[in-house]
Amino acid sequence: MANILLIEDNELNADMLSRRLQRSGHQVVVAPDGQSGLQLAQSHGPDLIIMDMGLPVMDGWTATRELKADATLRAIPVIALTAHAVVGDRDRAIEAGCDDYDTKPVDWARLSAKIARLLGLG
Amino acid sequence: MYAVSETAREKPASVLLAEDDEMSREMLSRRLERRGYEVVGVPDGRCALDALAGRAFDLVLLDWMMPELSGIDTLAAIRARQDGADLPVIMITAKDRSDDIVLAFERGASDYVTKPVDFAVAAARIQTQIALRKARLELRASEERYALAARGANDGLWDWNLLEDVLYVSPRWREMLGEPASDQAGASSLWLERVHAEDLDTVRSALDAHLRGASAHFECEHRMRSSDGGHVWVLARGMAVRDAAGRPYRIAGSQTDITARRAAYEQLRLDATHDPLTGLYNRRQLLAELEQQVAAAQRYQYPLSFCFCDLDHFKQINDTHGHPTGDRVLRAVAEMLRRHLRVGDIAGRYGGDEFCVIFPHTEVARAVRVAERIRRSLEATAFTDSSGRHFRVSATFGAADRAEGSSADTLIERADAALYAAKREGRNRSYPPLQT
Repeated sequence: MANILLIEDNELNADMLSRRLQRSGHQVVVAPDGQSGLQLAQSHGPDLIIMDMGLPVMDGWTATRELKADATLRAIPVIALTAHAVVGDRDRAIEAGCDDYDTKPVDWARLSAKIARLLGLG
Repeated sequence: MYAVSETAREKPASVLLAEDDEMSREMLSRRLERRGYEVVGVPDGRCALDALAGRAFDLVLLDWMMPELSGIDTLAAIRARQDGADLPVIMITAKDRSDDIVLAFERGASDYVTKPVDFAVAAARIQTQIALRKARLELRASEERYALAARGANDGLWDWNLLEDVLYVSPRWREMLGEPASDQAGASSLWLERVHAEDLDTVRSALDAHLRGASAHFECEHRMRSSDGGHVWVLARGMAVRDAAGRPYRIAGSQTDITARRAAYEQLRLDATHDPLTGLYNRRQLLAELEQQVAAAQRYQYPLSFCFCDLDHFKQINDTHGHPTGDRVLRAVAEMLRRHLRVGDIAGRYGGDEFCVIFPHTEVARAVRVAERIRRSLEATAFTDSSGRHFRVSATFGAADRAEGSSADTLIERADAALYAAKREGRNRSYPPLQT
């Protein structure tokens, strides 16, 4: 299927989401912050990135802007994950260059449909 | 040089005629040539032997009374040669010399004609002898071809006379079973008592079906007991020969050693359905089983539960203690699952550190009871890595049962949600919680 980079600091969420992605046949690498996420994006060249926006060290907004500013990484689709309650995050995510957007807690069926669409599998 | 050459069948049959009386020789030659034979006439036995040494003939006619070498002595000289053994030789004797005729047959004559030669009778006998020999040679060639093919394929051969229950097996047939190569015949029990007990019915029914005429060939893959106490897989093939009424009186065929092929097939099947590390079902097989179980539970209306078992912080175990130790942990968990599961429960490795169990005929509360036994057993196990460091392993379980009418996917999602809940509450536990 696809190589997916999951950038998520919450260990439990990263655990559950990566398990679900793997069960769908994807290969998953996990980074716990924006900085190491960027490094993994460069070294692994994933097919898709799922990015939590509230990250330590370097937050998701910054990490996404840097990804989209890098000519070699720009084409990798990014799905932003933000807390459900925060109004206006969707616009901010799109503004930062994210290709799609979803809220936490994750609705797996909805998220996997977005993944499939961005990978051209849907 | 006595053997028939390759092209002999297309060419006219060749006859060597040894006759000292020139008139008789010329007359018989001409009449035979008119019948389409190629004839070489010689005046005595010595010349006949010289001719035979120079080229091949399909038949020899020997006059009894000849100078130099008589007919009977010429016959003996022909038969003494290894390649002259199956050459048809017809003796020409004086009428009413029955002693001569008996002696001729004793020395190996194929047939005789009496003088004065009745040409119609002589021609019929010559034709019969040539046809017989041709059939004999063709049969031998075909038998040789088959034996050669069987030897090349390393097959064993068997031939069973059904009327007298006499079974011949080739040395290779016995060798295949680890027995000394011998071609001693026996009764059919020789074969059947060597068939693996579990396969005897299969062999018998395949044999019966073919002997009854229900199958065009006898063909059966089965195990044969070998002399070392083990077994070999063989493919036995054969065909019955029937009388005019269709009753079989003989069946013969081959036996091929397919042990290696069978082992490769079993390995392929195992590889396709099992996880090589733990020996449990792999994910694909597990999902196939789940689909079947969901369909059966829906049809026969029985409860069905599904449980995830996820090792806690397995990545850390691998990072701290190394992958070989991590693999050992995975195998230990698989062993623990096997030990605690009941007959009918189906375990598999879903991937990585994730195991699953299908519990047919089981409500979720009972599935959790089994899960808790496994969890506690794992919790109580002390592991030691290659450097002698001790460590513990725990696992989190999430179970769910199938709701009426729902699919395998839904059941997996529900178990996944239960696993999530158990992890959120702090791992090393089962969800839903055990009811007391």
